Amino acid sequence: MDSEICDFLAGDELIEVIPNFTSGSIQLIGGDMGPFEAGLPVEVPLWIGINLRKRMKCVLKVPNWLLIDCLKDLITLENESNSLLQLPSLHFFEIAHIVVRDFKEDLQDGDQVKTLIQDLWDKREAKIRSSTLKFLKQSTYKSAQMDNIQQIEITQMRGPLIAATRNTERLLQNKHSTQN
Amino acid sequence: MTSSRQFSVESDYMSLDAILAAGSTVPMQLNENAPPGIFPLIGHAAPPSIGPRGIRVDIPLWLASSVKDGHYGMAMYPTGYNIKYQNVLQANADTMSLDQLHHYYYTFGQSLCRIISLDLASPLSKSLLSTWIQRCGIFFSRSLQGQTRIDGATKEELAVFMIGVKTKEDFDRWLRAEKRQGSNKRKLAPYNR
Repeated sequence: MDSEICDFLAGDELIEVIPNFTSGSIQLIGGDMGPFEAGLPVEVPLWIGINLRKRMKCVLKVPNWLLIDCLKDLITLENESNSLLQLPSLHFFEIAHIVVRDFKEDLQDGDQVKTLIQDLWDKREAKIRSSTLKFLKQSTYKSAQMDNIQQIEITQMRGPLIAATRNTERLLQNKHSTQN
Repeated sequence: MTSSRQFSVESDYMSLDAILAAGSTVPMQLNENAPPGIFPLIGHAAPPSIGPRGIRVDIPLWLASSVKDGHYGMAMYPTGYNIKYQNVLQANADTMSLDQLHHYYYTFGQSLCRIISLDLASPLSKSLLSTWIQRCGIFFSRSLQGQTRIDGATKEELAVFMIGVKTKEDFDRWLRAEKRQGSNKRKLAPYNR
């Protein structure tokens, strides 16, 4: 599991686009999409939205939570909260990342959106890192719970965390074997 | 009919790190029952006889376990694992350059616990765990903060650090919306037994 796979999984999330063409439903394995009417918003999976955008067939209707004011509010709430905030989407960062990368022309201020997303990511990453360090600094508890963590954040922490805890487990087993 | 002989081995039997660590020496007090054939193996001339007080030699860890199993001697703490170092590490393991004590400090320490007596192994095993717990968070944290180089880390700590560095690079690249260098084709993961 890496960032690309997380992006891929986020491709199934629905977004609203405004097509510039009219067409009947598109039949796909996962279900029918459309019908498409020029100028009318329609919900499609993100991967279809990217495909249509690249072919200049639609414009993205930016989700409310990706507007600058909403992002600033999220950052403020994240600052005020000791724990992780529940974000508006399960694939918040992946969708934001894809929108900034592939739908930049449809954003009002793409650079500022990117900066705000980065800011939010940094704040959450700092919280996750400090919680993980507290968990690593003990050997009594074998599990921990963290609410509202995103899949992409878990993916980031997984590799080094597993490497560290595996060694902790080996040393713990070594300690127990010498206590008997 | 042929009979299969099975041997139980430690979980790190196939570990390359454990094999490399086992090349380091351990001080052993050989008793008078120790066979003279041990000495050429460790590059010493065999003494004419071993008195009742025994003789102290440094033996590679891989040989020391056989010597211990044959009741030919007792292993002792090597430098870096004795009570003095255990106390120092207990007090503050963060600042020690553990790599200078042993590059495979934890792996060698675990193997050592299996061949020394229980009254020596017990405090050593606690010290190893306590040292790791104090230090592993530092390497974990530094790698995710963007540090790409670290000094004084043992092999085990470096492993955690480098995984963190690679992960950080991957996610920084992702956040900057940069494309990966090279082919986008995904390679099939090698078959792991």
